[in-house]
Amino acid sequence: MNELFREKGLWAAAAVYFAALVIGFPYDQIKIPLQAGDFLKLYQEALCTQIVLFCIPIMSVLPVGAVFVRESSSGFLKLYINRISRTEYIKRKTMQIYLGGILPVFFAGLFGALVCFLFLYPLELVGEIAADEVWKAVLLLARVCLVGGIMAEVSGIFAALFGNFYMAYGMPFVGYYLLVILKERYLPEMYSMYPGEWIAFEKNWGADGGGLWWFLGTFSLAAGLLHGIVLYMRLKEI
Amino acid sequence: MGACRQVAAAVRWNFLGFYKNPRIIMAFLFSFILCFFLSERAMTVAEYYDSPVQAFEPFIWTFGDATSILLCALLLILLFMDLPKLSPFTPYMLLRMKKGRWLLAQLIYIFLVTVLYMLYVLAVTGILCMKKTYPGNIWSKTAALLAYSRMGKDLSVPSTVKVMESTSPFACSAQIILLLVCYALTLSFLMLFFQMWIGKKAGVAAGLFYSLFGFLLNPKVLAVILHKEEYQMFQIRRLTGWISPLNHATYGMHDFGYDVLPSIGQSCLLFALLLGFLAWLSFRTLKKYNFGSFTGE
Repeated sequence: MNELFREKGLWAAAAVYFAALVIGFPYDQIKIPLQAGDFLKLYQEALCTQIVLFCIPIMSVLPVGAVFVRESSSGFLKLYINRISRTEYIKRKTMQIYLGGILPVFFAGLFGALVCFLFLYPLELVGEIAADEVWKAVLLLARVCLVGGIMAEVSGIFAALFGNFYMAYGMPFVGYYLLVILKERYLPEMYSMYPGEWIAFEKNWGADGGGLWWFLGTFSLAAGLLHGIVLYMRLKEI
Repeated sequence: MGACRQVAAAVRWNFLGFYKNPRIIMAFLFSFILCFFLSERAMTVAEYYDSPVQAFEPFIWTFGDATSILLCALLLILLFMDLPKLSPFTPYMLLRMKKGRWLLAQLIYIFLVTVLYMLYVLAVTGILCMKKTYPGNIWSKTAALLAYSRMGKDLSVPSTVKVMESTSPFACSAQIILLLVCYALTLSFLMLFFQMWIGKKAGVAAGLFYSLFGFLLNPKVLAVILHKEEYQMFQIRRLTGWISPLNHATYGMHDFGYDVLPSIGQSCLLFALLLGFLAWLSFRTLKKYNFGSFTGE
């Protein structure tokens, strides 16, 4: 974890995410005085903008997506692997990369919520904020974080497969947009594989909407598992 | 004959591993995504009128715009970052052939890659919009509606009556491809020259500067910078139409009988002269070029 927090890329990615939130914020919807809880609604809209969706496959892979390429090309991996077991290395790297995708969004989202609260809450009329609204904002941020984590794992898979920075940083972006293209240009009904829907959560995902959480959880696990297998195969060569 | 064989062998060598190079793969994949973003306007129009468009019309509407050409050409910088192609095999090649022939092979390689890239862009734009397109060589009803309505101007879709009257979709796209290739070649030749003259970073910087130069000489941008009014725009358009390479590559910035702008032929001639000059500079630089490093990448 300390290794991850020392990464400058993590903080740079979080800053870019926050900038995306600021740029995409729906300023035109601010009508003073605001109703109670409006700051949360505006915050949720800012999290779903195109600019944030565009940033996910770029910024989430930036901190540690290509860590395997970096460590293997510099020769550091040979020294590192002598000190810990292969399984421990794989566990550490898959978790590190997954968290490296989640944390920039989480920090930016948390900071964004704080800024929204500080600047917009004083403009609201006195009233009670529904707990449901708070919970919806938390779940939305969690979904963006999970998509970021999945993208980072995809980056890790390509980094281990090809051992190349272009592939590690570029393929998650290409894969993400291939899914967007598939839905927007050819299969408009295929919302389950549409990254925008993973975040917006507007279509049918089962009676209680739990389908999406199972989907994102399974996707994360599958990506992590695949990443682990590819890393194991690569480490056997050392 | 022997010279041709040598040049062909050097070109073939440059293409070795081309399709497996991650940088090349990524450049082509990014271009696919870029075409998706750029063709969004064309799809919006087709969906708005709910009528099909000719297969090449999305390409014509997308790459008839200077900004799209600029963005598309920027990916060429990624494609040609490693020019001139040096590898451990290069000294053996240079022992058997003249340096001039080796450089000619580099230029032919650039030309072939650029043509391949532009044809790929044409194909990809067509594929991305294929749900709303038909193949016949006739302008669509959507194009006519756009040309006679204000929507084309509002969406910055370059579909005009003068274009539709003077040419067919196939001929129009062929002309756009020709202009795109010419622009991309000047960008690539410039990069090659600077990479050989100063170094790799200078080559990339020259490519970016060339693109920035084109962007700043956009009539709208220049009018804002020079504080020109709407009625003075024709002067700005005429000036930038002649001095900006990006506008020479923009189909809509040509003379269709009404304006004092360059014709397509004149633009191609100017590009040819510029390419000839850059090739001559490259040949001159080659005499002093330091082949010290043959380690390759």
